[in-house]
Amino acid sequence: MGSRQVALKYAAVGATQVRSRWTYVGERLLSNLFLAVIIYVFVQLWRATYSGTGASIDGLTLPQMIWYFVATEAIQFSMPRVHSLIETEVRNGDLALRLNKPYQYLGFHVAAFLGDGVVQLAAALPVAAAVALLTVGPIAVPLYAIPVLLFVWVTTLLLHFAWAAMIGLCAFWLEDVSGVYLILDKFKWVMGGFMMPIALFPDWLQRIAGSLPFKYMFGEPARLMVQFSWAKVGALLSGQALWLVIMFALLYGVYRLGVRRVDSNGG
Amino acid sequence: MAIIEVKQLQKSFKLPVRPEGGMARLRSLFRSQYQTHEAVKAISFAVQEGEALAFIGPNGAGKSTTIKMLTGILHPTAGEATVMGLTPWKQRQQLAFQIGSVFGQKSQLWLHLPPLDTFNLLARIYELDWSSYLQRRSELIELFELDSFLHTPARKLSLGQRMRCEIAASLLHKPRIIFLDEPTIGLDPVAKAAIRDLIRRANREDGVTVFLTSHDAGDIESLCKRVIIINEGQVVMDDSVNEMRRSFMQKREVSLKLGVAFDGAFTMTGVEVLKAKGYGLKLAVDTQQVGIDVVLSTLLQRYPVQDVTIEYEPLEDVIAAIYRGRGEGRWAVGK
Repeated sequence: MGSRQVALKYAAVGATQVRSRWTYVGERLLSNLFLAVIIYVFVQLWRATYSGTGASIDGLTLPQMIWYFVATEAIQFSMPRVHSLIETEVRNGDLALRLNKPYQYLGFHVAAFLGDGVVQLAAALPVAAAVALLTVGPIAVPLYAIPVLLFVWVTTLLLHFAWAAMIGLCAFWLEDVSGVYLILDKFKWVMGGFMMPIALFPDWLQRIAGSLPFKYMFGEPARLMVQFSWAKVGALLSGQALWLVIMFALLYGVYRLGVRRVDSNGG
Repeated sequence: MAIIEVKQLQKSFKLPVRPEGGMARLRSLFRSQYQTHEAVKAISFAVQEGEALAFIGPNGAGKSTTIKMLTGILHPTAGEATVMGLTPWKQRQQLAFQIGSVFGQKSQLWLHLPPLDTFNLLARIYELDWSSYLQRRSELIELFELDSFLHTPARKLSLGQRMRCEIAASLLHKPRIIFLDEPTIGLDPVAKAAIRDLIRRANREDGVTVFLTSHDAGDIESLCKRVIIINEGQVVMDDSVNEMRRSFMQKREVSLKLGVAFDGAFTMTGVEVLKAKGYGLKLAVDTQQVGIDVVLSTLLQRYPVQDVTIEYEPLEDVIAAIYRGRGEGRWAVGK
């Protein structure tokens, strides 16, 4: 099996997913109008906060803070609901349909997840960015940073994939994973700096958040967008690489255990 | 040459038991109790290359478990199996390149995309040489008459059109075996006939080995020469479809149009009056108890007869009877 053909195989899965999801990009764009309301409310809240505290909070100006929030929202809104998809496949037996094709089950889902994510990003980012532009104006992002930021978006989404897929695979043991997902997803939001930078947390919470992978899933990529530097790129990518290895190793372990469970329980 | 060989293949599952009573349930939270369910009990059979085999049985008989072991999705508890010389559960990916599968109730087509996009994706998934793929695709498009809806999103296709695409998709990589699970479920008679014709062609013209699971007797009759019936995890019959007919189709349905109204006075051992209305009479005759000739000559002596038709018992009634245990003893395991 040539590595080029293997790469083409997963690239084709991703591209097919893009084409499939693109069919409804208009509907997605409309449903993301809700995102405009969220951003607008946050602009008002941060405006009030900044008027009381001064021009900078944690080194971020008001426009930077809003664009930070635009970035975390764009990450969140571009994340496909893979936990639910995997849960369904485990529950209704579609897992067998996937396993009799010549690809890796998790590899297929990674490729499809990224393809779906591209369309979701295309439907979320313009809405969030438009509100930020209209309310606080643009921030300076160097042109050369854009490909780097897109690459970081991919690595960030891979971390989200590992987290969500692990929860989805819990369907091998649990009747319904949606409750678990709800709790763990909110935990990820808080510890990742989704709503506000981790630096604004109390010290003890910052220490906890600092030792978890979630800051690499929201806060750090968002901060890179608003305050781009090569030093930050290096720190972020090395942190993400470490957590990608750990989380994908865990994910693969959970997957193997789950498949073994199908073997002993019949699914 | 056997393309599938199965020897004493077994599969047991551990099923959790929920005990009765509050304390017992509380204890089970910390120490789960299981019972063993033998889904497949030491079955053996072989399938020759190019054969069309019906592998049938009632729900829960062990069909799906067997197919999952043969496609490498499940590991057996004991026994051996090889498919094209490969051990499925050890060489699943390698095997996946050489087998095709169609599940009537599950689609491999991407719903929002035209079938052509799914075909292109499958070509990548099966790592096909692109020019060979394009040629194969053209052949299948022509054979399956897909041209008119090849660019229509799969969600807008009729079930018959979708199933034609499903089967074409599973043949793109020229598999040597195709596993078909209820390929005609939900289809109208015309679409069923078309699907059966296409499967028959793949089997007879391209030599693809067909491993069919279906509850539709028409699929079995029109596609397969051999049938394996599995029940409660055991092979209860492994023979030709014709032999099954001969052995089990002892009943005939005799329909008569009499010259006078039926008076209800006809009784005979082994004959049951199914329906009698005016000049019409329908009888079920058990040929093990009484010959058709005896029944007809008795009737002709008593009534003027204008028309007679004699029909076999429907195959699905025979299969249902075998499921219910009519074949036990006569068709013992390992016959």
